[in-house]
Amino acid sequence: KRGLLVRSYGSGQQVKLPGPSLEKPNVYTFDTPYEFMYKDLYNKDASLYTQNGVLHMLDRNRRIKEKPERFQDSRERFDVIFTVEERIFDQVMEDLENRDKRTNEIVHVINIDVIDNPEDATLGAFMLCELGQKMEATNDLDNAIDEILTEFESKTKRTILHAVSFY
Amino acid sequence: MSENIQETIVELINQASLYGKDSVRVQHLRHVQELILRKDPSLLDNFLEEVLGFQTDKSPEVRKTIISFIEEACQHDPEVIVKVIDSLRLLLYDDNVLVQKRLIVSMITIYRLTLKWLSKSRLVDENVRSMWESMVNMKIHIIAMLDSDNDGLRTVAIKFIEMLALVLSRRTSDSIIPTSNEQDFSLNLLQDDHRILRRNKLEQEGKDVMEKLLEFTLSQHLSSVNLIAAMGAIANIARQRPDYMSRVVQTFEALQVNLPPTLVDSQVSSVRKIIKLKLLSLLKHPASFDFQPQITTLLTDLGATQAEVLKHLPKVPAESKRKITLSNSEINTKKPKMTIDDTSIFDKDDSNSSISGKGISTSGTHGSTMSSTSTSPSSPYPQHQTAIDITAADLVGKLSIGNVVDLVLVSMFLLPEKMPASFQATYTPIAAAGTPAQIEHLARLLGAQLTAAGYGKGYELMKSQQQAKPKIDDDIDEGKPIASIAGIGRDDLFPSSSADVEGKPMLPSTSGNELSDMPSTSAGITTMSTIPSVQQKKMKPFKLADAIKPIEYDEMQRMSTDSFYRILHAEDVCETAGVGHVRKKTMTSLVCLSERSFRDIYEDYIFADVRKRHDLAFAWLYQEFVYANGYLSILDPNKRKDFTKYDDTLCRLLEYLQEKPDQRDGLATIYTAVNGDIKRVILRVLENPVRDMGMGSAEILKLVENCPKGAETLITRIIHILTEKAPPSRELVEKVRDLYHKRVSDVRFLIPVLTGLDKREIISVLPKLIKLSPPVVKEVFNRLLGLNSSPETSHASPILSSELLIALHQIPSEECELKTTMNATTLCLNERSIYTHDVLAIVIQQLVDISPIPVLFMRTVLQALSFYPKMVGFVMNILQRLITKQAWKQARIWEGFIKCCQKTRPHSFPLLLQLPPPQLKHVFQTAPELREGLMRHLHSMSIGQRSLIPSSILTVIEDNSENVAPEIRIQTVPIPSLTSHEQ
Repeated sequence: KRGLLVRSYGSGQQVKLPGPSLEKPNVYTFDTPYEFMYKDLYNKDASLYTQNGVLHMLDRNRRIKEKPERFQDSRERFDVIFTVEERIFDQVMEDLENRDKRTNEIVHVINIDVIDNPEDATLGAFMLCELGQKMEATNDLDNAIDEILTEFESKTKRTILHAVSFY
Repeated sequence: MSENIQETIVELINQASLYGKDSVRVQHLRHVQELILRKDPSLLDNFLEEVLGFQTDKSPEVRKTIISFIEEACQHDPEVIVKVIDSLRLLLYDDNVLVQKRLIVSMITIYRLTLKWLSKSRLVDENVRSMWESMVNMKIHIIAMLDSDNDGLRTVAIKFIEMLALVLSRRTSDSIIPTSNEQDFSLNLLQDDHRILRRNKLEQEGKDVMEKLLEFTLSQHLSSVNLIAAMGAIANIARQRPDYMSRVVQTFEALQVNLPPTLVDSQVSSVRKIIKLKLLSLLKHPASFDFQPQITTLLTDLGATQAEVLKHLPKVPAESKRKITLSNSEINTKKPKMTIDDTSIFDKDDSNSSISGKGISTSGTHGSTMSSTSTSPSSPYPQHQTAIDITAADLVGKLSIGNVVDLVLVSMFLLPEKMPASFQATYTPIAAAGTPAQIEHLARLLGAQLTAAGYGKGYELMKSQQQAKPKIDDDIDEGKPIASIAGIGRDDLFPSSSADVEGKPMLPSTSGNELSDMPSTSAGITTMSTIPSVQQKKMKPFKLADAIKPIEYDEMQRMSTDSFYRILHAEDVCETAGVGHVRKKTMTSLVCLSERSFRDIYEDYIFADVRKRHDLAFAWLYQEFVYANGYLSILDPNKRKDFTKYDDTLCRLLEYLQEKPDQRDGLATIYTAVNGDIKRVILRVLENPVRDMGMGSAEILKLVENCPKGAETLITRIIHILTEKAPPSRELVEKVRDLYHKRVSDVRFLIPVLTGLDKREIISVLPKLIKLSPPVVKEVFNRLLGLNSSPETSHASPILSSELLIALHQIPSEECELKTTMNATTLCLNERSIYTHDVLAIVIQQLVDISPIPVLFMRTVLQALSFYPKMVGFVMNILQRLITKQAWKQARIWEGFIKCCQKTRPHSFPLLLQLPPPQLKHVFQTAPELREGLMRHLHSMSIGQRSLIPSSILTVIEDNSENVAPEIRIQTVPIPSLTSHEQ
């Protein structure tokens, strides 16, 4: 919507969605279509999953793409990869390091911790979007990124992890 | 089919060369690339020229596309390189950084391909030769990019060098090559007798660039991105070329304790994360077997868990090659004795200070002779044992509890005042302090530090091995002292005292002492033999007095001053060699004994960095005291106590301290002279020191007072930092105000100390303040209104929120455009938590009493009303006041009055009835709908009430024919019917 080319991925082994309690999440494999998840949860407990926003999210997602994607299985190349948890940052870095290298193009990996619930995720999305736009606006990202991130850090009082890898 | 493709390509190229959107033209060219290289590569020859034509295109995007085309073409057929080399060179020198960067990225592949192709090709003609020459030049240019100003260019240069180090070396059996690099060139593929490529030369070059890369990785000014890229590069190299494993592991060791000081907190954590990642990947490598202890220790420091480490250990049978530890222990048995000897000698000499300087320097020189003779010839180090290993091994034995305690105490003086971020982030308590493993680790840490700083036994040894391999043996045979660790500092000292030594009979006795203290090791004997041999030479023509010409006084003076300077400048070397206290004693004694010239030099030296060197001043004073008391009256037993010199010294030192040059003033001057990047760095690192100094610091106040031209941003930043957490102090406000009035008329200067100014001042600068950019204005209000400040730091603003708003209203339009003032009042009003309806009521009440009423008054009333509809009663009172004040005489107010009446119907009707007839008529003209409402209002009144209304008013209300415009008349038609209904 804001003029950025974005794709989103999961990085774990499965797709986990909140369940009736913390210990009982709904677990799906990565090749489960959103459509299926939506219907499944709707049938399980429509009011619970409407209330906690999961159905809304799935509904939005199913209109964007068919099913979730796993980062490690994607071979698309990016300029910047955002992660929202340190653990995921580590996974992404490790995956990138273990890939076959060919083109030597730079990719920046940036982590900002976002708590995994609908409210914080929305807030986080706005932050990432703002950051993304700042990066888009610069002419020479590799040279400006340090400054952008430092400024962003001091503005939002959040800690950012930032590393580079190469495709 | 081929015909068809050819036509499509021609069409696409034509379209791409037309004017159009860059992105579309890039699309066309990409399409061409795909058609040629993926569909029908035979067409490459036909179209290469045409495509290369785009290399001079205006659009950087198009030029980048051409680079990718070239790269793919070269991959497809390396012979193309000869044809495209000129384009590559042109694009390397492109004006656009992004194009340059893209080219370097492509050059990584192309250079590798070139080597591979050349190594196979038998045919080497003139074209190929000149292509290779260009390639070499480009390579040199790219390597030099490591020093570029552009972060991204540096990053890709690192990748390029990584590639160079890989292709210019050999694969070994334990190389782990990623599948994608399986086919890459390496020196194994090169024939010995190649026409242009000389294997030895290339191999040496590979080593050189690797050294450069390792050195770069450890440099202190690196950005975090560069550092991460460099770490990735050296780790890749170590995995693919395990010969470098040892050097790379060491680099990581050195790096971990020496991260660039320019990194901010979060960058430190990112970098440490990557170090961990890279070390784990190295740990997996079988060739890192010998370094497992070091790597594991580092990883533990980085917070890796035991499980993580175990997971990454390679599954190789323990094939023990423990040469290192073996040779280490050999050295260990020898080294400790040395140290003990050294210290005991120094301790002895300390008691008779007047001669200590001379004595020590001599024995020091012998010490160095010993260390080099005892080690360098006897233990030929294994090839892979490096400087850090040697220095660490050397240190292990020396790290006795006593020595470590001394080290800690000495370094106490050097501790920064505040804990550095990187330390705070990474410090973990030492669990196994004092265990052999921990001591070994400590020794390695110190070894890494010393080597990085260019000191230590290992470093010296490596250096001497490198520089003078054949020479070493000769030197030893002749018994000359060899410069080694301890030698450096003392070599500096030696000339200064040698003249005295020769003249006095001290020397034999000193060396005698030394000998009796020492078990007669071979080293001791070597020392013995060196001294007589030197002396014998001098004894032969013994008439010393004849041989020596008297030195001119000036010459003598100059020489003694020079030698004194040399001692002064040997600070670092002496510290490293552990003879800092000797140096101090030497200097103190010299200064006490000799005449003024030394004193001034010494004073200047101390006060050049008084923080670090104040101990020298104290030592000096102490020495003077000792002399004054006559404790050292060997020279003159009858000397009386004489404190004049002591007093004099004390006074001088104190005086000096007072007029100590302001160091931060110096900073400001530097600041004005450097470029933007450095300015930014200064501004960034300024925060902690400035905060520590606080606004009470006289230096800071002085700096603000003397702000040099061009350093305004610096000063502003300093003031900002100071006032971030605490209200500005009176002195600071004073200085800033002064500066503002006298020199810097930029009002932004005042913002940080706004709350320290008095109300009158604030009001007087308000017009200037609100002209600044909206975020700044917001900041100004935040400060004035005490917003965003935490409870403990909040302090009474000198201006009340109501007063501020009133002041805004009173800004005359000639000082500030009405629109600006209006925006500022809106900003205020939007702070609803501050401008509650109570505050607004006060503001409005006071404003209405001002004469003339401020232009924005009615606007504020209307806004207040829209925020707080309950204020309507209050507003009616205000409108009432306006009527008594004959508000219609002020056009703007009157306009607002009418608008307000419209908004507050029906509350405003009684008010309207109080207007004089002409004004009421005007109201109706402007807002005809009010007439209708008023009419209804009239009818709802009782007869008695109506009778109180003057008939002139009633006439105005009812008579709508006279002054009302025709189109409005239509609206008034229903009125008669209303009236009739009433009757």
